[in-house]
Amino acid sequence: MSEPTRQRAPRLGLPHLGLGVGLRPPHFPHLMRHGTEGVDWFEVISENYIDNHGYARHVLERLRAERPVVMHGVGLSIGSAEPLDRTYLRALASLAEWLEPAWISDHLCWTGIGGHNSHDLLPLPLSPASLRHVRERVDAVQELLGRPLVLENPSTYVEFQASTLSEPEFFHELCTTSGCGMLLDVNNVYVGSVNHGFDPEAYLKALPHRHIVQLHVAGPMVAGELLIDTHDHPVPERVWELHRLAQALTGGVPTLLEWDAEIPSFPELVAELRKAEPELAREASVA
Amino acid sequence: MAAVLAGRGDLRQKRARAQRAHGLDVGQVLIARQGPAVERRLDVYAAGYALRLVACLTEDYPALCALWGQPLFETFARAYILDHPPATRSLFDVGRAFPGYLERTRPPLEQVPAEQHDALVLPAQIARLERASSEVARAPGIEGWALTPAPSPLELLCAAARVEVSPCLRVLELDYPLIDFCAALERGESPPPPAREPSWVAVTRARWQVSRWLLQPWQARFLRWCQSERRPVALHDCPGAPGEADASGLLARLWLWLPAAVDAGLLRLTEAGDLRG
Repeated sequence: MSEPTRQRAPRLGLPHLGLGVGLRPPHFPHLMRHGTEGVDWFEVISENYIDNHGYARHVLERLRAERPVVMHGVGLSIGSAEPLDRTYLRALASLAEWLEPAWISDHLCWTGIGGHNSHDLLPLPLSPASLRHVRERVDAVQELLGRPLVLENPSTYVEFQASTLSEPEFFHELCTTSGCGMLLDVNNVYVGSVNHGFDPEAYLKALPHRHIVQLHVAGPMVAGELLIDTHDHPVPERVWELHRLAQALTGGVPTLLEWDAEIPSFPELVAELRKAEPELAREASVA
Repeated sequence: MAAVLAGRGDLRQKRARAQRAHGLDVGQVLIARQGPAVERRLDVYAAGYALRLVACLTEDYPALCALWGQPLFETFARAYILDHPPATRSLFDVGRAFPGYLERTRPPLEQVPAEQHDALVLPAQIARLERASSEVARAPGIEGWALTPAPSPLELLCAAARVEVSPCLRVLELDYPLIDFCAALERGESPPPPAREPSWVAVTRARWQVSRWLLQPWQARFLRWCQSERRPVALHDCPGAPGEADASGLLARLWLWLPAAVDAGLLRLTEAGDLRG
């Protein structure tokens, strides 16, 4: 799985789905009554649908007949020192068999250790040793799922003394040697650039662009000198600027708007999402 | 980092405990190149961990939260999270043990005046009902069941029909009549607490809607018997009520009640002929 980047098709050959939103329960009534107009595709939190046979799954079953769906997990814990949870992976594979998602993504992070789950996306030291560790686990997950795994750059508030690689360097090595994809969360880059003081444009330019299959945009919260990745505000202009650069660097990839708290009505959400439309149209015309 | 997230005490205490356990100071592990110090940054994770789990419990237990008010609910929720840190990937599992925790940690009733008993017992009872409702909302239900013709009255009368309870059905024995009380709390009202009185409740789901039904004791016994059989059961196998010589009295009551039970999504009836197929 060590194919050089230059031989890769854009987005790992995965489809350009257009503009999407994260599927959230407050929008179920609108979607069931008025349909999915204004949105090209949906992203679902995988864990919310594993072992869930209720209304949420019923809604998802209806929507997947109308629009492509992507599975986005928060529980893989690819960076953890604990063994991969095979039971969880089988459940993920089973959900994928039913849902037939365009791809499956999670985060470059760890979420628990010693039988404790933090329900948070915790950062890991970025070093050659952790890169080897993550790459081995990515290989195992891809083997089990039978498809490329797509990993997102998380929002972080701390850095490790042991880190010797930058996040773009880590992703570049990981993607090009394992064949996995990257979900580039532009908002997380912005949050990280403010919290850690790096140049977000330089970050974006150093990424493995042909491995990027999707972008995330969202609105963070200001907390003193830090930005917190709360997904509860409109997308700030600085994130749209970075989004424009990311679209140009990648040659055009699908964009998804995340909104998880203080959730607006579905039409308001769609209006925010469509702000990304000019970039998509521009990249499509260039291509 | 896990110790700093889930440990007891304030951040300074948690940090000291992590240092004792792992022989490493935060400053040896983490770095802040600019802006706020490492402690402030760690606090983002520690505060976010508690906020996320409290929000999850608030969503799972709306009536209890309304009864107590958010500050008191949060006090109990935070104490519970310390006692039961999440062990699985599913947020649905976070509140699983909350009703039992409330029951276990209340003061012994014999040590408190009788007029305070309701205030101590009622919360765990509400939590049991709310947890059951959450479980029913996610469990496999009857929505996928094929529509089969209902048995004729004659078949019911002859006990030739067979009964299959909904796989999502929960039957609870509670110490208070809580259905109307919880519904009023969830509507934002302030109803007077109900008087203590044994109550049987069925929680089920039909057409994707979760509903709660007050049961007679014999109805609860019948549904639990059906559940214990773990398969469709023939009415003529149904045991009689305690004190009754045979099941004929129960069958007569069932004859009147079963159509309503089917309509509520508690169970379905199939013809005896279906069973032989």
